[in-house]
Amino acid sequence: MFPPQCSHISSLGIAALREKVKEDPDFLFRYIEEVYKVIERHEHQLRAYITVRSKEDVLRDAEALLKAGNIGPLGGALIAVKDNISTSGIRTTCASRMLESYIPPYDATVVTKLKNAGGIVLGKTNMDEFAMGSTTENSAFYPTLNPWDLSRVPGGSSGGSAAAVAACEATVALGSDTGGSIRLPAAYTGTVGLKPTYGLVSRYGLVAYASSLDQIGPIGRYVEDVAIMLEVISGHDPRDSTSLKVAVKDYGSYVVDGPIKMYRIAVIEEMVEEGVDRDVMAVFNKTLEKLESYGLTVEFKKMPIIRYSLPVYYIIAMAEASSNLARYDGLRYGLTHEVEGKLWTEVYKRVRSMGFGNEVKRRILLGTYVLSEGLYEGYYLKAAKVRRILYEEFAKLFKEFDLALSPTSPILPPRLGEVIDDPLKLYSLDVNTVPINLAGLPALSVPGGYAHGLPVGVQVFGPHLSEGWLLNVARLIEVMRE
Amino acid sequence: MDWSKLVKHVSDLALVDLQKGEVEPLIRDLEKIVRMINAVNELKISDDVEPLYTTFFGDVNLRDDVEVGEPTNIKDVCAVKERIEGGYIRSPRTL
Repeated sequence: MFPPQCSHISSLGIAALREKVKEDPDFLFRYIEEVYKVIERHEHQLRAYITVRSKEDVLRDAEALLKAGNIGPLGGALIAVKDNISTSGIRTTCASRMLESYIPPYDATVVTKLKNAGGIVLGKTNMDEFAMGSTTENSAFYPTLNPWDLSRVPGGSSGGSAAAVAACEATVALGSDTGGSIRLPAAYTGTVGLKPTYGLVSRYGLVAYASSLDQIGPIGRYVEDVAIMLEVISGHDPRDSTSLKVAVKDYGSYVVDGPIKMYRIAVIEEMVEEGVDRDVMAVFNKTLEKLESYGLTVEFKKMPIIRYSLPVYYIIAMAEASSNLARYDGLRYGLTHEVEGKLWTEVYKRVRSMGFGNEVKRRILLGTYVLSEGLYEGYYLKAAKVRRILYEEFAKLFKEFDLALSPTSPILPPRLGEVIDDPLKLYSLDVNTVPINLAGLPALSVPGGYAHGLPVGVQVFGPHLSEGWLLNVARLIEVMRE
Repeated sequence: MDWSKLVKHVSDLALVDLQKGEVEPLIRDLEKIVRMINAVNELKISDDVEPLYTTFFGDVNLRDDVEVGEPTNIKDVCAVKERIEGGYIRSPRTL
């Protein structure tokens, strides 16, 4: 089931596209024409992109790919890249006035890998400024709309990537996830979004928000597409100091229509108890029932410490953000200002005042607050200790269970303006996604069903490096939904 | 707590200049958020719990310590093109 913007050809997945291009290479040009038709018709409303490459440039890339005689595992797939991921020669703004005209001189490792695997970058997608937000309304340029209902948000912060994929304005996309920024928009747009284990995918070329939590991951319309993308972008990268030295897995082999293992699945009671919308719970419970019908076991477990995830996450993320964003001084790149003869602090403050939006300023100030003298122990250090307890609780849980499930978001996609003015309402959208980042676990969101014509995402998460199992269970959910 | 003073102090530390109209809404939001994060103070945690700063437990990849030559792509490296003069980045003369 796709939103109305999609056509038969534009909704093809990677594997189908690759097969068609193998049979008839000229099909790639027809496919590109079709996707650009969707963009021409709908992008003025959706505003999923900040930069769309010209069709001529993309057709030229396609020609070069076909000429090289190896279309790779991606077969000419058109890739939408979140605008906080470095693309050589293509503007990378982080949806901020601060970097509005910044053109990086290099590709992020993930972008290099996608290009080498037969992917073509189509454009750069809208997002919450510096990935700080959950609705894509915090973009300095414009909000992105939800393809399923244009009065609603697509989630964030990778809302542009998810909306572009959902509306068939791209084959697949890259997002980044610090506290749910891939999974939440995937849930709100009916797409599949995966946040890998911390360190599985290189962060080289990702503009840093909170470095101990940030991960790049794929968004696709099909579980299989996400598996193909993950296989391409994962693997060790010497340019990322926290890149894991693990062998790349054949993730596609997990995307089969039956369980490859009789999974023991946990549902953490605190993730389904409070504030979860009745419609969301109905879809979630139905998903559990269907998984049980495969012979999988589902058991509810308590984990009281998880209630503290939201404050712990915001303390840590804001502290790291205040440090990471100190580099924006207007001297080397980004927004600049007349400086001659002025105090350096005056210049620095002026540039940051003009360049950052409200949410970014709010997080920088809070990060500075929790790290300031006399408060550090009570906030940052305490949060880091709670993070340790949470990490160990998850380790215990996954000794007893293989995987866990929860609703990705407690509510259906909010309407534009509904939560943006209240930071607590906004932050609470992440209540079920942030614990995963704190523990560095892998997780994905897959559509479990629909309520009032809107998609409802189910979050599947597991122990470190269990991406294969997550994809297998996500495929079961996809099959059951079909 | 005097929130106006606090916001002034923190914005000075963070080198973020706040405009007049920004302060009031910011104070309103900060009050709410600080109340939310104060929830961690409800927890009694023993001193022997080690803080967790990262979930990466592998060997941190350090680059080889090799001599770096003169940069050849200064125009690419410095994105603020108007700062480049004669192949060098001109830093501003501030007080």
